[in-house]
Amino acid sequence: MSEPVWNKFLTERDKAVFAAAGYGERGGFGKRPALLVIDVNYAFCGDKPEPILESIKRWRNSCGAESWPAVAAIKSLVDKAHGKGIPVIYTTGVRREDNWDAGSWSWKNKRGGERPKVPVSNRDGNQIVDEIAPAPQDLVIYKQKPSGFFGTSMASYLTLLGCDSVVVTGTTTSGCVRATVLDAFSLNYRVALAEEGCFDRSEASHAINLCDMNAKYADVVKAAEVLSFFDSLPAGLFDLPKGTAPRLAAAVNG
Amino acid sequence: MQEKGTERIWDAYLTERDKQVFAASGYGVRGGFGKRPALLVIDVSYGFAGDKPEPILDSIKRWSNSCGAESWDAIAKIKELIDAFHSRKMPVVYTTGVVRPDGWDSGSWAWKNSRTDESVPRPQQNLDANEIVSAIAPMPQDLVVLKQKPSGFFGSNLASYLTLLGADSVIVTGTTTSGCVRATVLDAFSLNYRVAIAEDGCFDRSQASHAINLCDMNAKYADVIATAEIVRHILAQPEDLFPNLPAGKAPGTPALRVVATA
Repeated sequence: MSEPVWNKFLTERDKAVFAAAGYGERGGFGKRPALLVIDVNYAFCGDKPEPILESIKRWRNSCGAESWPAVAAIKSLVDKAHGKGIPVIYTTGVRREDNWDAGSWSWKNKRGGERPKVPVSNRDGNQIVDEIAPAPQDLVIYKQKPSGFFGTSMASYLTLLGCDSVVVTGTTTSGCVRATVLDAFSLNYRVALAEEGCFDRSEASHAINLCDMNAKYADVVKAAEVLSFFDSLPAGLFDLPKGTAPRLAAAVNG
Repeated sequence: MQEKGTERIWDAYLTERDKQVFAASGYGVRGGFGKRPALLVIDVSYGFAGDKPEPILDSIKRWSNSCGAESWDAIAKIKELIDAFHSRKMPVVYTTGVVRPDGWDSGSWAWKNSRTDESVPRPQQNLDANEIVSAIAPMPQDLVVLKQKPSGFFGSNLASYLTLLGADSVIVTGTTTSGCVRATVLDAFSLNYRVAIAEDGCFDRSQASHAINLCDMNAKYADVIATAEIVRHILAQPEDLFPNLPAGKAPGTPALRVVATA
Protein backbone atom coordinates (compact mmCIF):
# COMPACT_ATOMS: atom_id res chain seq x y z
CA MET A 1 0.00 0.00 0.00
CA SER A 2 1.28 3.48 -0.81
CA GLU A 3 1.60 5.95 2.06
CA PRO A 4 -1.87 6.07 3.64
CA VAL A 5 -3.60 9.47 3.64
CA TRP A 6 -3.79 9.37 7.44
CA ASN A 7 -0.08 8.98 8.19
CA LYS A 8 0.61 12.71 8.15
CA PHE A 9 -2.03 13.22 10.84
CA LEU A 10 -0.70 10.52 13.21
CA THR A 11 1.92 11.05 15.88
CA GLU A 12 5.02 8.84 15.79
CA ARG A 13 3.77 7.07 18.91
CA ASP A 14 0.45 6.39 17.20
CA LYS A 15 2.19 4.61 14.34
CA ALA A 16 4.16 2.43 16.78
CA VAL A 17 1.02 1.65 18.79
CA PHE A 18 -1.09 0.68 15.76
CA ALA A 19 1.68 -1.66 14.58
CA ALA A 20 2.21 -3.25 17.99
CA ALA A 21 -1.46 -3.66 18.85
CA GLY A 22 -2.06 -5.82 15.79
CA TYR A 23 -4.68 -3.64 14.13
CA GLY A 24 -5.09 -2.88 10.44
CA GLU A 25 -4.73 -6.36 8.99
CA ARG A 26 -6.45 -7.06 5.72
CA GLY A 27 -9.91 -8.47 6.47
CA GLY A 28 -10.68 -9.49 2.90
CA PHE A 29 -13.71 -9.23 0.63
CA GLY A 30 -16.74 -11.42 1.19
CA LYS A 31 -18.29 -13.63 -1.49
CA ARG A 32 -21.60 -11.82 -2.00
CA PRO A 33 -21.13 -8.04 -1.75
CA ALA A 34 -23.55 -5.18 -2.07
CA LEU A 35 -22.36 -1.72 -3.11
CA LEU A 36 -23.55 1.00 -0.72
CA VAL A 37 -23.70 4.62 -1.84
CA ILE A 38 -24.21 6.76 1.25
CA ASP A 39 -25.89 10.18 0.99
CA VAL A 40 -24.39 11.35 -2.30
CA ASN A 41 -26.98 14.07 -2.73
CA TYR A 42 -26.96 17.77 -3.51
CA ALA A 43 -26.90 18.75 0.16
CA PHE A 44 -23.52 17.08 0.64
CA CYS A 45 -22.01 17.74 -2.81
CA GLY A 46 -23.46 21.14 -3.54
CA ASP A 47 -25.06 21.60 -6.93
CA LYS A 48 -21.78 22.02 -8.80
CA PRO A 49 -18.04 21.63 -8.18
CA GLU A 50 -16.80 24.70 -6.36
CA PRO A 51 -14.45 25.39 -3.44
CA ILE A 52 -15.96 24.16 -0.22
CA LEU A 53 -16.04 27.54 1.52
CA GLU A 54 -18.06 28.90 -1.43
CA SER A 55 -20.33 25.88 -1.63
CA ILE A 56 -21.25 25.83 2.07
CA LYS A 57 -22.59 29.35 1.86
CA ARG A 58 -25.60 27.87 0.09
CA TRP A 59 -25.32 24.21 1.12
CA ARG A 60 -24.30 24.15 4.75
CA ASN A 61 -23.42 20.42 4.60
CA SER A 62 -21.47 20.62 1.36
CA CYS A 63 -18.11 18.89 1.05
CA GLY A 64 -17.16 21.11 -1.88
CA ALA A 65 -15.08 20.35 -4.96
CA GLU A 66 -13.70 17.04 -3.63
CA SER A 67 -17.21 15.61 -3.81
CA TRP A 68 -17.19 15.44 -7.59
CA PRO A 69 -14.08 13.32 -8.28
CA ALA A 70 -15.54 10.94 -5.70
CA VAL A 71 -18.85 10.92 -7.60
CA ALA A 72 -16.91 9.91 -10.71
CA ALA A 73 -15.21 7.07 -8.80
CA ILE A 74 -18.58 5.95 -7.43
CA LYS A 75 -20.03 6.00 -10.93
CA SER A 76 -17.36 3.57 -12.14
CA LEU A 77 -18.27 1.22 -9.28
CA VAL A 78 -22.03 1.57 -9.85
CA ASP A 79 -21.59 0.85 -13.57
CA LYS A 80 -19.51 -2.23 -12.85
CA ALA A 81 -21.99 -3.46 -10.25
CA HIS A 82 -24.86 -3.00 -12.71
CA GLY A 83 -22.95 -4.94 -15.36
CA LYS A 84 -22.48 -7.85 -12.98
CA GLY A 85 -25.90 -7.79 -11.36
CA ILE A 86 -24.39 -6.86 -7.99
CA PRO A 87 -26.87 -5.01 -5.75
CA VAL A 88 -26.49 -1.25 -5.47
CA ILE A 89 -28.11 0.36 -2.44
CA TYR A 90 -28.36 4.12 -2.06
CA THR A 91 -29.17 5.99 1.11
CA THR A 92 -30.33 9.55 1.50
CA GLY A 93 -32.10 11.64 4.10
CA VAL A 94 -35.79 12.27 4.64
CA ARG A 95 -37.36 14.88 6.87
CA ARG A 96 -40.82 16.23 7.73
CA GLU A 97 -41.54 19.68 6.34
CA ASP A 98 -41.91 21.02 9.90
CA ASN A 99 -38.50 19.53 10.86
CA TRP A 100 -39.86 17.88 14.04
CA ASP A 101 -38.01 14.67 13.30
CA ALA A 102 -34.64 16.41 13.05
CA GLY A 103 -34.37 15.64 16.76
CA SER A 104 -30.77 15.50 17.85
CA TRP A 105 -29.58 17.01 14.52
CA SER A 106 -30.99 20.36 15.62
CA TRP A 107 -28.98 20.52 18.85
CA LYS A 108 -25.41 20.98 17.67
CA ASN A 109 -25.60 23.05 14.49
CA LYS A 110 -26.62 26.68 14.44
CA ARG A 111 -27.67 26.31 10.80
CA GLY A 112 -29.72 23.19 11.53
CA GLY A 113 -33.01 24.89 10.79
CA GLU A 114 -31.95 25.91 7.28
CA ARG A 115 -33.93 24.33 4.54
CA PRO A 116 -32.25 23.93 1.17
CA LYS A 117 -32.51 27.32 -0.50
CA VAL A 118 -34.86 26.28 -3.24
CA PRO A 119 -35.10 29.64 -5.07
CA VAL A 120 -31.31 29.69 -5.33
CA SER A 121 -30.72 26.08 -6.22
CA ASN A 122 -33.96 24.52 -7.44
CA ARG A 123 -32.61 21.30 -5.97
CA ASP A 124 -33.87 19.14 -3.14
CA GLY A 125 -30.90 18.61 -0.84
CA ASN A 126 -31.82 14.96 -0.37
CA GLN A 127 -31.95 14.17 -4.09
CA ILE A 128 -29.16 11.84 -5.20
CA VAL A 129 -26.97 13.62 -7.76
CA ASP A 130 -27.97 13.03 -11.38
CA GLU A 131 -24.57 11.60 -12.36
CA ILE A 132 -25.31 8.45 -10.33
CA ALA A 133 -29.11 8.55 -10.20
CA PRO A 134 -30.48 5.16 -9.08
CA ALA A 135 -31.42 2.70 -11.85
CA PRO A 136 -34.74 0.83 -11.70
CA GLN A 137 -33.24 -2.31 -10.11
CA ASP A 138 -31.40 -0.37 -7.40
CA LEU A 139 -32.58 -0.01 -3.82
CA VAL A 140 -33.02 3.40 -2.17
CA ILE A 141 -33.17 3.69 1.62
CA TYR A 142 -34.44 6.79 3.38
CA LYS A 143 -32.89 7.46 6.75
CA GLN A 144 -32.90 10.08 9.47
CA LYS A 145 -29.69 9.42 11.36
CA PRO A 146 -26.07 8.80 10.36
CA SER A 147 -26.13 5.03 9.89
CA GLY A 148 -27.84 3.54 6.86
CA PHE A 149 -28.95 0.75 9.20
CA PHE A 150 -30.52 2.89 11.93
CA GLY A 151 -34.31 2.76 11.74
CA THR A 152 -34.26 1.31 8.21
CA SER A 153 -34.72 -1.93 6.29
CA MET A 154 -31.06 -2.09 5.26
CA ALA A 155 -30.18 -5.23 7.23
CA SER A 156 -33.32 -7.04 6.07
CA TYR A 157 -32.57 -6.16 2.43
CA LEU A 158 -29.04 -7.56 2.81
CA THR A 159 -30.48 -10.75 4.28
CA LEU A 160 -33.02 -10.98 1.44
CA LEU A 161 -30.19 -10.58 -1.09
CA GLY A 162 -28.01 -13.10 0.72
CA CYS A 163 -25.18 -10.58 1.07
CA ASP A 164 -22.24 -11.40 3.32
CA SER A 165 -20.37 -8.15 2.77
CA VAL A 166 -20.64 -4.50 1.75
CA VAL A 167 -18.45 -2.14 -0.23
CA VAL A 168 -19.09 1.34 1.08
CA THR A 169 -18.81 4.68 -0.73
CA GLY A 170 -20.19 8.17 -0.22
CA THR A 171 -20.22 10.87 2.38
CA THR A 172 -19.29 12.06 4.86
CA THR A 173 -16.40 9.75 5.65
CA SER A 174 -16.51 10.78 9.30
CA GLY A 175 -20.29 10.88 9.56
CA CYS A 176 -22.74 8.67 7.70
CA VAL A 177 -20.10 6.50 6.00
CA ARG A 178 -18.42 5.74 9.31
CA ALA A 179 -21.74 5.13 11.08
CA THR A 180 -22.85 2.72 8.35
CA VAL A 181 -19.49 0.91 8.37
CA LEU A 182 -19.70 0.57 12.15
CA ASP A 183 -23.14 -1.03 12.05
CA ALA A 184 -22.11 -3.32 9.18
CA PHE A 185 -19.12 -4.40 11.28
CA SER A 186 -21.30 -4.97 14.34
CA LEU A 187 -23.66 -7.08 12.20
CA ASN A 188 -20.65 -9.22 11.12
CA TYR A 189 -20.60 -8.20 7.47
CA ARG A 190 -17.21 -7.98 5.80
CA VAL A 191 -16.65 -4.33 4.97
CA ALA A 192 -14.49 -2.60 2.38
CA LEU A 193 -14.30 1.13 1.67
CA ALA A 194 -13.44 2.48 -1.78
CA GLU A 195 -11.08 5.24 -0.71
CA GLU A 196 -11.53 7.59 -3.70
CA GLY A 197 -15.29 7.11 -3.46
CA CYS A 198 -15.48 8.65 0.02
CA PHE A 199 -15.40 12.33 0.88
CA ASP A 200 -15.78 14.71 3.81
CA ARG A 201 -15.91 18.40 4.58
CA SER A 202 -12.96 18.11 6.97
CA GLU A 203 -9.57 16.93 5.68
CA ALA A 204 -8.39 15.76 9.10
CA SER A 205 -11.65 13.96 9.89
CA HIS A 206 -11.56 12.26 6.48
CA ALA A 207 -8.02 10.96 7.04
CA ILE A 208 -8.34 9.88 10.67
CA ASN A 209 -11.72 8.25 10.20
CA LEU A 210 -10.30 6.20 7.33
CA CYS A 211 -7.45 5.27 9.69
CA ASP A 212 -9.81 4.24 12.49
CA MET A 213 -11.99 2.19 10.15
CA ASN A 214 -9.01 0.53 8.46
CA ALA A 215 -7.58 -0.36 11.85
CA LYS A 216 -10.66 -2.11 13.16
CA TYR A 217 -13.74 -2.28 10.99
CA ALA A 218 -13.01 -2.30 7.26
CA ASP A 219 -10.42 -2.62 4.52
CA VAL A 220 -9.73 0.79 2.98
CA VAL A 221 -8.86 -0.08 -0.63
CA LYS A 222 -8.53 1.68 -3.97
CA ALA A 223 -11.55 1.79 -6.27
CA ALA A 224 -9.56 -0.08 -8.93
CA GLU A 225 -9.20 -3.03 -6.58
CA VAL A 226 -12.94 -3.12 -5.98
CA LEU A 227 -13.50 -3.06 -9.77
CA SER A 228 -11.19 -6.08 -10.17
CA PHE A 229 -13.00 -7.86 -7.35
CA PHE A 230 -16.40 -7.22 -8.96
CA ASP A 231 -14.93 -8.49 -12.26
CA SER A 232 -13.89 -11.72 -10.55
CA LEU A 233 -17.45 -12.53 -9.46
CA PRO A 234 -19.79 -14.60 -11.63
CA ALA A 235 -22.73 -12.71 -13.17
CA GLY A 236 -26.23 -13.35 -11.88
CA LEU A 237 -25.32 -14.04 -8.24
CA PHE A 238 -28.27 -12.09 -6.93
CA ASP A 239 -32.03 -12.05 -7.25
CA LEU A 240 -32.34 -8.29 -7.72
CA PRO A 241 -35.56 -6.27 -7.81
CA LYS A 242 -37.13 -6.52 -11.28
CA GLY A 243 -37.08 -2.78 -11.44
CA THR A 244 -39.97 -0.45 -11.59
CA ALA A 245 -38.97 3.15 -11.24
CA PRO A 246 -37.36 3.75 -7.82
CA ARG A 247 -38.06 7.45 -7.88
CA LEU A 248 -39.77 7.39 -4.53
CA ALA A 249 -38.05 10.55 -3.37
CA ALA A 250 -40.68 12.81 -4.89
CA ALA A 251 -43.49 10.74 -3.38
CA VAL A 252 -41.91 10.51 0.05
CA ASN A 253 -41.00 14.14 0.17
CA GLY A 254 -44.47 15.09 -0.98
CA MET B 1 -16.38 26.31 30.09
CA GLN B 2 -14.92 26.76 26.62
CA GLU B 3 -14.48 30.42 25.83
CA LYS B 4 -14.65 31.32 22.17
CA GLY B 5 -11.18 31.00 20.73
CA THR B 6 -9.96 28.65 23.44
CA GLU B 7 -7.63 26.04 21.98
CA ARG B 8 -9.14 22.56 21.84
CA ILE B 9 -7.18 19.31 21.83
CA TRP B 10 -8.08 18.67 18.21
CA ASP B 11 -6.98 22.05 16.82
CA ALA B 12 -3.39 20.81 16.44
CA TYR B 13 -4.60 18.09 14.06
CA LEU B 14 -6.93 20.17 11.87
CA THR B 15 -5.90 21.90 8.67
CA GLU B 16 -6.53 25.64 8.46
CA ARG B 17 -9.27 24.96 5.92
CA ASP B 18 -10.91 22.50 8.30
CA LYS B 19 -11.18 25.18 10.98
CA GLN B 20 -12.86 27.58 8.54
CA VAL B 21 -15.22 24.88 7.28
CA PHE B 22 -16.32 23.84 10.78
CA ALA B 23 -16.98 27.48 11.67
CA ALA B 24 -18.87 28.25 8.46
CA SER B 25 -21.01 25.13 8.36
CA GLY B 26 -22.49 25.88 11.78
CA TYR B 27 -21.33 22.76 13.61
CA GLY B 28 -20.12 22.48 17.19
CA VAL B 29 -22.55 24.68 19.06
CA ARG B 30 -23.40 23.69 22.61
CA GLY B 31 -26.25 21.16 22.69
CA GLY B 32 -26.80 21.37 26.44
CA PHE B 33 -27.47 18.89 29.23
CA GLY B 34 -30.72 16.99 29.45
CA LYS B 35 -32.81 16.94 32.62
CA ARG B 36 -32.38 13.29 33.56
CA PRO B 37 -28.88 12.04 32.77
CA ALA B 38 -27.34 8.61 33.20
CA LEU B 39 -23.59 8.16 33.47
CA LEU B 40 -22.12 5.66 31.04
CA VAL B 41 -18.72 4.10 31.76
CA ILE B 42 -17.64 2.36 28.58
CA ASP B 43 -15.26 -0.62 28.70
CA VAL B 44 -12.94 0.56 31.47
CA SER B 45 -11.57 -2.94 31.88
CA TYR B 46 -8.08 -4.35 32.33
CA GLY B 47 -8.08 -5.23 28.64
CA PHE B 48 -8.14 -1.53 27.75
CA ALA B 49 -6.35 0.02 30.74
CA GLY B 50 -3.74 -2.65 31.35
CA ASP B 51 -3.25 -3.86 34.92
CA LYS B 52 -1.20 -0.86 36.05
CA PRO B 53 -0.11 2.57 34.77
CA GLU B 54 2.80 2.08 32.42
CA PRO B 55 3.86 3.48 29.03
CA ILE B 56 1.52 2.25 26.32
CA LEU B 57 4.15 0.47 24.24
CA ASP B 58 5.10 -1.59 27.30
CA SER B 59 1.51 -2.20 28.33
CA ILE B 60 0.36 -3.49 24.95
CA LYS B 61 3.01 -6.20 25.00
CA ARG B 62 0.80 -7.98 27.51
CA TRP B 63 -2.57 -6.33 26.85
CA SER B 64 -3.06 -5.98 23.11
CA ASN B 65 -5.84 -3.40 23.52
CA SER B 66 -4.22 -1.33 26.25
CA CYS B 67 -4.30 2.46 26.12
CA GLY B 68 -1.37 2.73 28.55
CA ALA B 69 -0.66 5.30 31.24
CA GLU B 70 -3.28 7.81 30.09
CA SER B 71 -5.97 5.29 31.03
CA TRP B 72 -5.29 5.78 34.71
CA ASP B 73 -5.50 9.58 34.65
CA ALA B 74 -8.91 9.21 33.03
CA ILE B 75 -10.00 6.58 35.56
CA ALA B 76 -9.39 9.09 38.36
CA LYS B 77 -11.74 11.53 36.58
CA ILE B 78 -14.34 8.83 35.97
CA LYS B 79 -14.26 8.04 39.69
CA GLU B 80 -15.11 11.68 40.48
CA LEU B 81 -18.12 11.41 38.17
CA ILE B 82 -19.25 8.08 39.60
CA ASP B 83 -19.02 9.47 43.13
CA ALA B 84 -21.09 12.50 42.12
CA PHE B 85 -23.76 10.35 40.47
CA HIS B 86 -23.89 7.99 43.47
CA SER B 87 -24.18 10.92 45.87
CA ARG B 88 -27.27 12.15 43.99
CA LYS B 89 -28.75 8.64 43.55
CA MET B 90 -28.45 8.94 39.79
CA PRO B 91 -27.87 5.99 37.46
CA VAL B 92 -24.42 4.68 36.58
CA VAL B 93 -24.27 2.17 33.74
CA TYR B 94 -21.10 0.25 32.92
CA THR B 95 -20.39 -1.69 29.76
CA THR B 96 -17.78 -4.33 29.17
CA GLY B 97 -17.16 -7.09 26.69
CA VAL B 98 -18.15 -10.71 26.78
CA VAL B 99 -16.91 -13.48 24.49
CA ARG B 100 -17.25 -17.25 24.42
CA PRO B 101 -14.16 -19.16 25.57
CA ASP B 102 -13.84 -20.62 22.06
CA GLY B 103 -13.94 -17.13 20.53
CA TRP B 104 -16.65 -18.00 17.96
CA ASP B 105 -18.64 -14.86 18.68
CA SER B 106 -15.65 -12.59 18.06
CA GLY B 107 -16.96 -12.52 14.49
CA SER B 108 -15.84 -9.37 12.71
CA TRP B 109 -13.35 -8.52 15.50
CA ALA B 110 -11.18 -11.41 14.33
CA TRP B 111 -10.85 -10.13 10.78
CA LYS B 112 -8.73 -7.02 11.23
CA ASN B 113 -6.46 -7.73 14.17
CA SER B 114 -3.72 -10.34 14.38
CA ARG B 115 -3.96 -10.48 18.20
CA THR B 116 -7.74 -10.91 18.61
CA ASP B 117 -7.47 -14.34 20.22
CA GLU B 118 -5.80 -12.66 23.19
CA SER B 119 -9.19 -11.11 24.07
CA VAL B 120 -10.48 -14.51 25.05
CA PRO B 121 -9.97 -15.25 28.76
CA ARG B 122 -6.65 -16.99 29.25
CA PRO B 123 -5.87 -19.10 32.29
CA GLN B 124 -2.31 -17.75 32.50
CA GLN B 125 -3.68 -14.28 33.19
CA ASN B 126 -4.68 -13.54 36.74
CA LEU B 127 -7.09 -10.89 35.54
CA ASP B 128 -9.92 -11.21 33.04
CA ALA B 129 -9.45 -8.60 30.30
CA ASN B 130 -13.16 -7.81 30.47
CA GLU B 131 -13.21 -7.19 34.22
CA ILE B 132 -13.89 -3.55 35.12
CA VAL B 133 -10.87 -2.11 36.94
CA SER B 134 -11.20 -2.38 40.70
CA ALA B 135 -10.65 1.36 41.23
CA ILE B 136 -14.16 1.94 39.83
CA ALA B 137 -15.78 -1.46 40.41
CA PRO B 138 -19.58 -1.32 40.03
CA MET B 139 -21.66 -0.84 43.18
CA PRO B 140 -24.73 -2.98 43.88
CA GLN B 141 -27.16 -0.37 42.54
CA ASP B 142 -25.24 0.13 39.30
CA LEU B 143 -26.12 -1.48 35.99
CA VAL B 144 -23.64 -3.55 34.01
CA VAL B 145 -24.28 -4.16 30.31
CA LEU B 146 -22.32 -6.92 28.59
CA LYS B 147 -21.72 -6.36 24.91
CA GLN B 148 -19.92 -7.84 21.93
CA LYS B 149 -19.56 -4.94 19.52
CA PRO B 150 -18.39 -1.31 19.83
CA SER B 151 -21.66 0.37 20.76
CA GLY B 152 -23.10 -0.16 24.22
CA PHE B 153 -26.52 -0.18 22.52
CA PHE B 154 -25.79 -2.86 19.92
CA GLY B 155 -27.42 -6.15 20.86
CA SER B 156 -27.89 -5.02 24.46
CA ASN B 157 -30.57 -3.77 26.86
CA LEU B 158 -29.04 -0.32 27.25
CA ALA B 159 -31.84 1.57 25.46
CA SER B 160 -34.54 -0.29 27.38
CA TYR B 161 -32.78 0.43 30.68
CA LEU B 162 -32.65 4.14 29.84
CA THR B 163 -36.36 4.07 29.05
CA LEU B 164 -37.07 2.26 32.32
CA LEU B 165 -35.07 4.89 34.20
CA GLY B 166 -36.72 7.73 32.31
CA ALA B 167 -33.31 9.08 31.31
CA ASP B 168 -33.32 11.74 28.58
CA SER B 169 -29.56 12.14 28.28
CA VAL B 170 -26.24 10.41 28.83
CA ILE B 171 -22.85 11.52 30.09
CA VAL B 172 -20.27 9.31 28.42
CA THR B 173 -16.84 8.31 29.72
CA GLY B 174 -14.42 5.49 29.05
CA THR B 175 -12.56 3.94 26.18
CA THR B 176 -11.61 3.95 23.44
CA THR B 177 -12.62 7.44 22.41
CA SER B 178 -12.47 6.44 18.74
CA GLY B 179 -14.00 3.02 19.23
CA CYS B 180 -16.60 2.04 21.78
CA VAL B 181 -17.11 5.56 23.18
CA ARG B 182 -17.74 6.97 19.74
CA ALA B 183 -20.01 4.07 18.74
CA THR B 184 -22.07 4.49 21.90
CA VAL B 185 -22.28 8.26 21.46
CA LEU B 186 -23.42 7.79 17.88
CA ASP B 187 -26.25 5.45 18.84
CA ALA B 188 -27.29 7.71 21.73
CA PHE B 189 -27.43 10.59 19.25
CA SER B 190 -29.45 8.53 16.77
CA LEU B 191 -31.85 7.62 19.57
CA ASN B 192 -32.31 11.35 20.32
CA TYR B 193 -30.67 11.39 23.72
CA ARG B 194 -28.74 14.51 24.68
CA VAL B 195 -25.09 13.51 24.92
CA ALA B 196 -22.16 14.99 26.81
CA ILE B 197 -18.66 13.54 26.90
CA ALA B 198 -16.25 14.03 29.79
CA GLU B 199 -13.16 14.96 27.81
CA ASP B 200 -10.67 14.04 30.53
CA GLY B 201 -12.65 10.89 31.35
CA CYS B 202 -12.07 9.39 27.89
CA PHE B 203 -8.94 7.72 26.57
CA ASP B 204 -7.59 6.02 23.48
CA ARG B 205 -4.50 4.21 22.31
CA SER B 206 -4.02 6.66 19.43
CA GLN B 207 -3.42 10.34 20.17
CA ALA B 208 -4.64 11.49 16.76
CA SER B 209 -7.73 9.30 16.84
CA HIS B 210 -8.55 10.54 20.35
CA ALA B 211 -8.34 14.18 19.28
CA ILE B 212 -10.15 13.94 15.95
CA ASN B 213 -12.91 11.71 17.25
CA LEU B 214 -13.57 14.23 20.02
CA CYS B 215 -13.68 16.89 17.28
CA ASP B 216 -16.16 14.90 15.15
CA MET B 217 -18.39 14.16 18.13
CA ASN B 218 -18.30 17.73 19.41
CA ALA B 219 -19.19 19.00 15.93
CA LYS B 220 -22.28 16.87 15.50
CA TYR B 221 -23.25 14.47 18.24
CA ALA B 222 -22.24 15.60 21.72
CA ASP B 223 -20.87 18.34 23.96
CA VAL B 224 -17.23 17.62 24.82
CA ILE B 225 -16.64 19.22 28.22
CA ALA B 226 -14.46 18.90 31.30
CA THR B 227 -15.28 16.53 34.16
CA ALA B 228 -15.25 19.41 36.64
CA GLU B 229 -18.15 21.11 34.84
CA ILE B 230 -20.18 17.91 34.75
CA VAL B 231 -19.58 17.23 38.45
CA ARG B 232 -20.81 20.74 39.33
CA HIS B 233 -23.93 20.19 37.24
CA ILE B 234 -24.67 16.78 38.80
CA LEU B 235 -24.12 17.97 42.36
CA ALA B 236 -26.71 20.70 41.72
CA GLN B 237 -29.41 18.08 40.99
CA PRO B 238 -31.98 16.93 43.56
CA GLU B 239 -31.62 13.46 45.10
CA ASP B 240 -35.04 12.15 44.07
CA LEU B 241 -34.79 12.28 40.27
CA PHE B 242 -34.51 8.50 39.92
CA PRO B 243 -36.67 6.80 42.54
CA ASN B 244 -36.52 3.50 40.66
CA LEU B 245 -32.80 2.79 40.64
CA PRO B 246 -32.11 -0.90 41.23
CA ALA B 247 -32.39 -1.66 44.95
CA GLY B 248 -29.01 -3.26 44.66
CA LYS B 249 -28.23 -6.88 44.95
CA ALA B 250 -24.73 -7.53 43.69
CA PRO B 251 -24.71 -7.81 39.89
CA GLY B 252 -25.13 -11.54 39.24
CA THR B 253 -22.80 -13.33 36.91
CA PRO B 254 -24.18 -15.16 33.89
CA ALA B 255 -22.59 -18.39 35.05
CA LEU B 256 -24.54 -18.43 38.32
CA ARG B 257 -27.79 -17.67 36.52
CA VAL B 258 -27.32 -20.58 34.12
CA VAL B 259 -26.81 -23.01 37.00
CA ALA B 260 -29.80 -21.67 38.91
CA THR B 261 -32.23 -22.09 36.02
CA ALA B 262 -30.90 -25.38 34.66
